[in-house]
Amino acid sequence: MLEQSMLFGAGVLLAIVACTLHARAASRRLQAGAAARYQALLDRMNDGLASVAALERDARIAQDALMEREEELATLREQLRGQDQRAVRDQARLIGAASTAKGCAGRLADDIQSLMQVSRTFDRWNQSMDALLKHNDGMHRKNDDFALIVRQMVIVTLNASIEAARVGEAGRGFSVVADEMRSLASRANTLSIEYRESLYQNDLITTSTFQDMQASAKLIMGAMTTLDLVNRSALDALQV
Amino acid sequence: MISERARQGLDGMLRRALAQSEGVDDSAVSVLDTLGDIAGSQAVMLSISSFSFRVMVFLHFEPGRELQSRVAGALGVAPEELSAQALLDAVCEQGNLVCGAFNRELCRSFPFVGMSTPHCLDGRCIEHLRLLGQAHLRHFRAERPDRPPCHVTLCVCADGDIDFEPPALVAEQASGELEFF
Repeated sequence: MLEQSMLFGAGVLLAIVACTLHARAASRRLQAGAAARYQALLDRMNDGLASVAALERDARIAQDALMEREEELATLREQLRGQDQRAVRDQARLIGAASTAKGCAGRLADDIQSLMQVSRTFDRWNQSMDALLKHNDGMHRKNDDFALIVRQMVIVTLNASIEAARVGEAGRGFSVVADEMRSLASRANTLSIEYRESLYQNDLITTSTFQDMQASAKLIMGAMTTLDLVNRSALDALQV
Repeated sequence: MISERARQGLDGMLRRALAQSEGVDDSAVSVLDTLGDIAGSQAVMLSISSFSFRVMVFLHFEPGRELQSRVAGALGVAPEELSAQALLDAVCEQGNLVCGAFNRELCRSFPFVGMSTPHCLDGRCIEHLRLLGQAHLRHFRAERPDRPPCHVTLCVCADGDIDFEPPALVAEQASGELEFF
């Protein structure tokens, strides 16, 4: 009984020891596993901290860049505000200039229309020059009549000289008069021819002067018409 | 003073204007040396004015039966029905055609020019062109088939120097010319 009790006790003791040993071994395994997991967690935490630090650096860089952009934006906004103000001032000046230009173009249009009446002056010149040319024609006719008379005079005085010579001594005095008359008729004939040439010269000078004035008047009217068209285009553009 | 190329340019313009209005080739127009080679006791005168020069064109003609019957034929009337004024108007119109064609050519080099209306002068007036201080004088003759030749005198008076590059030739356009004489 005792032996049985002792055996039982030894068995229990062995079981206790075995359990204790098993528990210790299990405890060591658990401790080792926990230490490994702890280390792994520690490593992951360290990695996480490093990542957070990197992110913090990136965030600071991004924040710095953002601040720079904001400063640039503020500068640009300031510049735009200045440009807007200048644009408003320029627009006001342009509106004023356009209004002035419109007024000037309007006055110019009125002046051009007034100046167009210079055509009446040209018409007056034309009438005067026409009258002068007709006057020249009249002088031509008178000179032709005069030349005809002079030629008749030459013939008459020649006949008078012949008749005086035929009478003889008694006609000597008349012959002198006839010769003198013939000389005068001859000079008148020369003068008539020269006068006729002067009239031709006069015709040329008068007509060329007249035509120069007439052509120049057309030049001026053409230039003014062009000016009027350009001015009207400017007025139309300024109406918009 | 007119430069040599300006003289040639003006001569060429009148040559083409005359050929165009007469309906003949440029080669049918020749230059004459003296006024004595020109037929016609009267002339139609026209002027083209610019700021620094003026050009005068004289179209010579001989009033007579030959001209009268040709103009009457062109107008479709009997020669005896053609009045002296109608004959003169026809000649002046011919002068307008020549000078108008010349004016159009001149406008290509000188935008500001004006042309006068025609006037009839005695041919003896042309002998006194030196009185106008001519800077360039040239006589032309256009030979026409079945008709007497047409004579034109070009006289240029300049207030200053004239020099320009003659513009390039352009295709001719029909201008409805009156082929009277």
